[in-house]
Amino acid sequence: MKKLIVTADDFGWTKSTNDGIIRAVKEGMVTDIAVMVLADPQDVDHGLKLLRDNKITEIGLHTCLFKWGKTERPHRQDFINFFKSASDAEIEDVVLSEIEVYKKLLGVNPKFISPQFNMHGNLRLLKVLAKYTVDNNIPMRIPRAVLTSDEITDQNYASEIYLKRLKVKMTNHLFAHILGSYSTEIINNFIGDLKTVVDGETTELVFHPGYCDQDALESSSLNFERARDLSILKNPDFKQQIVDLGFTFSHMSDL
Amino acid sequence: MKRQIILTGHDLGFSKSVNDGYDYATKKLPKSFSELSILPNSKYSLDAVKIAKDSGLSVNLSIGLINRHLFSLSKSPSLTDSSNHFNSVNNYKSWDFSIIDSFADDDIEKEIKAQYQWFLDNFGHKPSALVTQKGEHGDPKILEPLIRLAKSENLPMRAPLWKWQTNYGAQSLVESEGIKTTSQFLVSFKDWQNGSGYDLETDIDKIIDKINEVDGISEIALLAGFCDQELLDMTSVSWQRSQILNIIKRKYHIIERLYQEFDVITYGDIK
Repeated sequence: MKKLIVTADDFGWTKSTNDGIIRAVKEGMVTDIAVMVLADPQDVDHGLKLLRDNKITEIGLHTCLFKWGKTERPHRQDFINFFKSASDAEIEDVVLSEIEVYKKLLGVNPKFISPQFNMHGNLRLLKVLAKYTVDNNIPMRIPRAVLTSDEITDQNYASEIYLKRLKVKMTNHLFAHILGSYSTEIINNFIGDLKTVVDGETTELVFHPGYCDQDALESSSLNFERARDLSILKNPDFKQQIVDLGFTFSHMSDL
Repeated sequence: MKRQIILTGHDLGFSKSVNDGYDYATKKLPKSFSELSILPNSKYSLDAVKIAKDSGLSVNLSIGLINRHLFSLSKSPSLTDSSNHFNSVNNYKSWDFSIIDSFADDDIEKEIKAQYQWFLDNFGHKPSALVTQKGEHGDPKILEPLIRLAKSENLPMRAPLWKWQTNYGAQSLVESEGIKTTSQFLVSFKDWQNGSGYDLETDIDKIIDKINEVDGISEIALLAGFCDQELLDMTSVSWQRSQILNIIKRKYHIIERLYQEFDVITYGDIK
């Protein structure tokens, strides 16, 4: 059996993102939601109400470390600088503070950890997160990324082997196609990725569904792609192709 | 001499988020379009009139006859369903527009005139040109009454293409009637008819080559808009409109390049 988890990132960031993700759960293939609890409070509150109203519980923490508002947020280089300059204790303090915010807002522990920008490719951050996931027996997104680009890569052996040795629960694969304007090609690329998965393996697909309103356009370089992802996730032909490849839909919490 | 192009903001009036996108683009990101193309028969058309007027841009009339989200201004029975919305084409992907077979000629003429009158009533002047939303005037049943209107009002007309490609019989008829027209129409997003459109960002060199290959005036359709739930449910051309806004806002050098390479004109400038 091949298990597939489809995660929507960035929940809580804007109202249009929240609305789009809820739709991608209800009418699309999204199985899990990664919540940004350090986004603007009114947008986080809007999102949390939607989660409650729709009885959605497969939720994890999209770790941002710092306030991630529409008008003010850190960028990749800020994180690189932070990991260079901060002490281990400072990094741990920032991580645990964010987790506390999550627990306070949602009333439960996150069911998984999936950091923004896949920044846990950084080994110093990873160690803190790994300790938390082991202590709480929850999975983490496989750190198949580097902090310097949007694309998923396999160029982070050290981080992966570190987690494997600690027996942190992860999927075997992580696939994402974040940029691009040709949805047919993106679907074909995902199907090509999924064809490499063998029986017994688990896979996570990452999407950023949402609608594209003025907030999204002005606040992020990832804007129209969110509505593109929502459209792809609602595409019944895409879902059928996945099912035909022998995948069953699952959750991070089932790992 | 530089080739001439028209940069058209297509589908103004189609939905609320499309209108919001044009309002945003024309107010905050000026010099993106040389023309706006307004639909007269959507429930958002009147909102679009204000956006078009505020923009100060040249505005052409986009006659829509085969889109179920648009309604008949003349309430013509052979064109519409029981709710006065147009009978939709059978399949946009295969370009099966055979629904037009059942349209009564009189109804077509009456509807085109009603949509034209709507423009006069709401703008107080003639449109810059006559176009159709989905290129339905590539079909002679639509083309002939449109030619009659264009001639009587002395208006230019978008090239009557089919699948937005060469449609010789129709194009030669327009030219032989002495109507000012364009030569080609490029859809500026990749996700069009299984990838046959052009991504304004990654295909900009191809677009420029294509314009230079063809004599006459090229029109580039810049379909702009935000993407909300309503639009996503209305059409497969939804999120792609936000890509155009993203390019205008964040990658304006691409639009600038078109202004550098070509003489950007309006329909009214066609000699």
